[in-house]
Amino acid sequence: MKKFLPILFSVFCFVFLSFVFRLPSSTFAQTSFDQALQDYQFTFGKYREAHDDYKLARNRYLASKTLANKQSALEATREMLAARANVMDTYFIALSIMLLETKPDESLKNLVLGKIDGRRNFIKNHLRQLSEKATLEEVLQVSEKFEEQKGEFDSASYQALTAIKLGEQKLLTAKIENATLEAKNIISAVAQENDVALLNSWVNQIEAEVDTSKKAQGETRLTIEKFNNQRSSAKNLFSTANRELSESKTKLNKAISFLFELLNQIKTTQ
Amino acid sequence: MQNYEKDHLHLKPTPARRHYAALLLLLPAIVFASLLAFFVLAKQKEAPKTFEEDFVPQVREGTQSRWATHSAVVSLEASLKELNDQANKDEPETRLAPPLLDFETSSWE
Repeated sequence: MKKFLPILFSVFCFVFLSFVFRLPSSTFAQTSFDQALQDYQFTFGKYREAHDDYKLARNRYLASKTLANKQSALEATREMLAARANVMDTYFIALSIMLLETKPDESLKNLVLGKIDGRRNFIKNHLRQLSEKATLEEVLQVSEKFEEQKGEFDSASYQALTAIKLGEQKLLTAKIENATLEAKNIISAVAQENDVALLNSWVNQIEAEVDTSKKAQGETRLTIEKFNNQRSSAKNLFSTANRELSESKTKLNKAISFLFELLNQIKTTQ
Repeated sequence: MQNYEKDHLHLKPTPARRHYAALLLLLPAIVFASLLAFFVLAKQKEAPKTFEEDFVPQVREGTQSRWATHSAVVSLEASLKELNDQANKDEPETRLAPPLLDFETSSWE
């Protein structure tokens, strides 16, 4: 039996590796995002429980400031604060994976992930400080520093969300351009036997919609940089980016509906 | 009889003589068959194509080109459906909204 073990192990490795290398890379990305999303939802659930406990312990202590109540309040607060930090951390991880799925260019990736990494390092230090502090007052001081960072957390979150939206639109744009190219190839194939002037003019209109969308996307790219430079609030910048991207999306949707019309026209021309 | 055999010894069939005779018979047959094949093929090449011979390849070619276009149309239709699904996907902020957390815990009074 023992001499068969290496053979069995080799066969298992071979089967496992061939299965792993057969899987497309997007499967891994999707799996890791799903995992990250589950982690985030799990930590959020833990936070909610911890927050309920914290409120109870806090009210009990404020109603009766005994040493025992203070100790309970300290423990409940520390637990809630750690859970809150973990929610932010797992949220940032999920955002990072979602961003990478949109295949951003190197500079955008560095810009957004750099900011997220900065926030995650802060969270790491915050968690370490929380575990070191022994009194309720000290823990609350650490919490205050975390709460002062809310603007930075918002900025990193909304910047990443904007970059993800932009990335998804860029992927959509590339697919529309590919479909337009496919349509052009079909048109040149049927051009020998049919009049394709109308089809070509429709293709031009599709390309014009895509170009306008790309311009709006370019504006959003600049807005993303403003999250790092400007003093205006992250939510305002996110609204600005949303306006630009909504205009861009309208153009892309129009291009898609034009492509469907073009396809039907090609079918009748054939 | 013995004298006859003695006189015609040079005509007695040996295996080598048999092979030689067979070759002599086969050679004209091979030459004749080759010439026949050459003339038949040459004539076939010169002969005008029948309607089927002329038309069928053209039809086949046309069908193949139509089939290729049809496949391209089907492929484009599939791409467009995929595009439509992607365009109707929820926005990222809906799929992963920033968490609403309690950021007012430091003041206890």
